[in-house]
Amino acid sequence: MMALATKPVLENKASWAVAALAFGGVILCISFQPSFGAEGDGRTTPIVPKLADHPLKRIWSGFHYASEVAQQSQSNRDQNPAKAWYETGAQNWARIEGKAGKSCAACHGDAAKSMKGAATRFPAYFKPWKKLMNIEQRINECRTKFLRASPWKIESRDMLAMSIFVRAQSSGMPVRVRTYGPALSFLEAGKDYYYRRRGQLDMSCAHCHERFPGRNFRDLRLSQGQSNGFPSYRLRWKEPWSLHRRFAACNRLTRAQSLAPGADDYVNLELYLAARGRGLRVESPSVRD
Amino acid sequence: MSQIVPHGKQLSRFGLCSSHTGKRRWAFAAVFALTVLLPSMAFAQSATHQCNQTGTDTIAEYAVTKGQTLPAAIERRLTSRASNARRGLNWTVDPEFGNCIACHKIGAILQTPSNDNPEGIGKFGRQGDLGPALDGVADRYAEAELRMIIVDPKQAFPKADTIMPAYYSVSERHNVIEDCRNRVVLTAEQIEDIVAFLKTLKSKPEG
Repeated sequence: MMALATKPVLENKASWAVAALAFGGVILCISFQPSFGAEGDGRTTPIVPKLADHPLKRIWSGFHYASEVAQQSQSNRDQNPAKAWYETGAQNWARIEGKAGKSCAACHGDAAKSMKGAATRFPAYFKPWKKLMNIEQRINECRTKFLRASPWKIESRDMLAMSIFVRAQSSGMPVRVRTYGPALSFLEAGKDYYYRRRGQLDMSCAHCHERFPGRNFRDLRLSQGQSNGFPSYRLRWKEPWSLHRRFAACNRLTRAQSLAPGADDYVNLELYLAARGRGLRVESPSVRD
Repeated sequence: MSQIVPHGKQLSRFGLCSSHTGKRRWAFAAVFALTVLLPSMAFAQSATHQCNQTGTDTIAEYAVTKGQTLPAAIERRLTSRASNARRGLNWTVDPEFGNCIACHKIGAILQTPSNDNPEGIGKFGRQGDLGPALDGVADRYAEAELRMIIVDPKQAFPKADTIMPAYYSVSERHNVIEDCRNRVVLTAEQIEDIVAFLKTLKSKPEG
């Protein structure tokens, strides 16, 4: 096409015909070639897992199972009901706090640059702890070690807000946690938790979320139970919940013991869910029903 | 329901508080932390379910035999008290008890659909569809099999890896919340009421 633009007028009709065909061919190719990342984003088109032994044939974000109202609220940042938490997170990012006289910005600068991609990689193996660490724990580690400020309670508004703010910097990026190396044994522990029956009602995560996504428990439409949208603003909750708070609620539904946020079992399960939904886009803060 | 007695209260009777030596103080602090702080964090979760008071030592014994179509059935009633289908409907729809309609549709208890209510959702709320609909279930299974399915569906459908809970069993539970440990979900009387209700769910006769 560039050649056509710089060439002088073509000499005869045959040349014009060839040029037209070439032009048409290029347009056809652009129209019909599969889009890059052809597997979809799990929202309107499913992700086809690459691994043959993945338990799901198609991976869908919770977005796929949500009502139109929820989907529309999520898609527009100004309409997203978790917007206030995002803004609190942005303010806290710049706020000087703690004995070191620093803010998050002092080390990390512009969050849009420094935190881009962070949410796609957590939970991650943290050598000093010899176990996994999730984003909330990482935030507290930074607060205590580098800001020399007191840690936030995991379910506090401040922590929820910072978690949403940090994760939102990876919005639209595919989750790609590392599951090999030292993380592997924790992945296996998380997988064991996922498939183990528990509680007086004796159900595992898989019973609802692997077997029945799309079906209904009373008026609740079940999803695949993916984690890519957390912290998630569920319209019936009227506030965002962290993933661990959701785990605890699921435990209580089956009349099983729930754990405190940050518990090892929950962090391991968090890694397993991230791996199970690998390729889904970070949607925090998602809006669901 | 048992009261949780903080162990710290008991410790003070053993005289550790009155010690003057530094070592005993540290020991007291450590024991206090281990026995009071940590367990109270674990119990911070609220029990949202009032599990019924029937425990393992009061479950009626029942004999399992081969069913007409299912591999397991319970011929004899679990209780001699007269059962009542109307009460059975209560247990079926109440989220604190059977909550059966959370997973099973029962068309017979829907309202007549109208313009305002095209699905005919009645006062019992929307019904779920994780399990099969129960209309006509009395034609599909004998009474003994219905009883077995509710008591322990894992025995009635051993190959299905069923999601359905066992309503009258305490075997092999994992991580049960304290209030519900070693307790069944429904009493023998409630189960017999539900069986009585299910027996009313027959398909309309042919012709």
